[in-house]
Amino acid sequence: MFHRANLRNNSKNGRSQVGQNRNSKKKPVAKLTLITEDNESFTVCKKVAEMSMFFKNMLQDTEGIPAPFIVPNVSGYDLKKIIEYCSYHCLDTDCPNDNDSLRSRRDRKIGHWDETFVRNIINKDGDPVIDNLVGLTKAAYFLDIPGLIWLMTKSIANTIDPKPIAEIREIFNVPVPSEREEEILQR
Amino acid sequence: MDPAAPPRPPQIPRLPVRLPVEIIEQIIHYLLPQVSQLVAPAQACRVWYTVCIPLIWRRFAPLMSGKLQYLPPLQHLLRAEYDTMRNMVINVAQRGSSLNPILNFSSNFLLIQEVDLSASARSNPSPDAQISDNLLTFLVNCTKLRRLEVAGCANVKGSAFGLILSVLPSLTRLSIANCDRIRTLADELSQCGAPLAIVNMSGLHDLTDVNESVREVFLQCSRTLEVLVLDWSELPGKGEVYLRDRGADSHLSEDAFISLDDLPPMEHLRELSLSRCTLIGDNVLRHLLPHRGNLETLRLDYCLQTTPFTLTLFLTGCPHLRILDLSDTPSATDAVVSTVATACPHLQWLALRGTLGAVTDASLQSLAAHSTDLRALSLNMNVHVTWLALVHLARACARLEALALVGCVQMIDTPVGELFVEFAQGYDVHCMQFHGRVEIARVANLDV
Repeated sequence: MFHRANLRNNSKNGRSQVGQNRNSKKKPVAKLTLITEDNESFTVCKKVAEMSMFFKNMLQDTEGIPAPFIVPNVSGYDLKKIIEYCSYHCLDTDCPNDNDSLRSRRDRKIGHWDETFVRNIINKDGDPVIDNLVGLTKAAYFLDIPGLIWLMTKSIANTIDPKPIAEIREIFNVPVPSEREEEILQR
Repeated sequence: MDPAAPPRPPQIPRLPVRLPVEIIEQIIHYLLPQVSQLVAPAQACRVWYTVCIPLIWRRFAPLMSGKLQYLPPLQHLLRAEYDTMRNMVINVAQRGSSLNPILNFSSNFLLIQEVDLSASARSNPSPDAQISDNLLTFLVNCTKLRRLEVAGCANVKGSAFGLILSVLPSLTRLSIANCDRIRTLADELSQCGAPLAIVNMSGLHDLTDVNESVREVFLQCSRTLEVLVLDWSELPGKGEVYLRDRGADSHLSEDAFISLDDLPPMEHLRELSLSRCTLIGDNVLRHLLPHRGNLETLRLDYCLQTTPFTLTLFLTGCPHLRILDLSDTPSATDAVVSTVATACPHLQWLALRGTLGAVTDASLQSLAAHSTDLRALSLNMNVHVTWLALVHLARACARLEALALVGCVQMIDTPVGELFVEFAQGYDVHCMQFHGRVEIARVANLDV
């Protein structure tokens, strides 16, 4: 039950809505269960889930229905990382959001915690670096979490920034286009 | 998919990473402050390309549409990006016919003013991947095109130039130097309606109708022609070999210049380069006499057929001459040099390499007396030139910056070192090319 441990750790730091609500004892913590495409289930509190516009809209539409949400297109690993990010940032007021201008988003620096977060993703064993970032980016895009999308795109941009074409192709595993393919397309 | 296929093994081949376009756009925006950062991603794959190109063009549109001249403070700012744009065009071009690079700019054809594809040949030695005539044909849609350079593109055979030159109304600069596969060009050039001002046709070693082609350039563009480069010097020695192998008919000769007699003087002609055109002689210079008035640059090195008399006659009418190359020309004598010194008061750059002893101290004295604006002088392999005259010249020409003295054997046993140090301090001598001379090399180390 790693996600529970994860949430508990966060509540100790006082960063999470979970901990605050437990202490206040006025209102039971609204929780919700998420089931990923590979059948892993996670329980998160509502505040954390609402970092995602996808969940927020869905919660508004289906208020009062305690059924677990099935989250397609997102793997267990990705959702675990997303919950880790959202639990840390759910109380932040200055998260990047869709109303920010491109310039402010571009000039924004990656914070210390975020940097460690990205480094942990990159250092995950097995897969090539970019696959982990891209998987999480797609999941964040699907769940519509502006802060995480900003962090991921910024990290990918930093990854490919000074590299030549061949290396970028290698990173994204793009095959070098064959001439015949191009000719067919042109016709 | 085949339903009978076995389940995938754990080590499946990695799939290409595909990202949503909105995500790619965000990534691109974080790279955007320097447009040069976009060049590599744009060429990585087609999706990235489609996202990057509009952003890049948005940066360049004001530049390419000619508004730049009204915004002088922006010029330096945009200069770097403009270079990037050129690299962009060139780099895309390196992917060659497989991508049809020029087609990718089709929506912006109206904006393009300059196309330089010469670097693609340098950085991409494989001839199959280079620019071909079919691609050049698409440039007819660039109605604002002013400069087209395809120097060194080995796949260009010249068939596209007929259409390009007849259709484009503002093309002024054309460089087709070293396009080795061009065989005939006269028919294409005869259709030329463009006001060509700068034409570079050097090194077209396989051109069979070189004389007819040059004649067409004169006939079609005599009113606008400013610079004509017909060097044969890109491949040293090849000119003679070709001349011997293929006969004199296919070499630049008097035939190309006969038509000049019937044309009004070319008032704008300011540069003429005929390096290593070994058949150029007195007859050609006579045909050029009415057109020499505004010449600023003249290169006649290795033009073996000229005589001192005609050369003198020719150079007396070039008062604006700044750059003159008479290297390896047997007719470069003291008399010619003294004529140059008196007739060309603005002379800044003079090359007199390898004149086989025809140039002596008398030349340097006349230069010292008249050509005080001289910046660079090359005297390699002139065995009769002595240090005394040289020092005299260096004292007279206060702006002298470069001297080449390879193989001037008269200067071996002289105290040149001390003298050079003296006038190097008193005068403004920045750079001296003293190759192969021990005594003078020692001087060069003394912070000359």
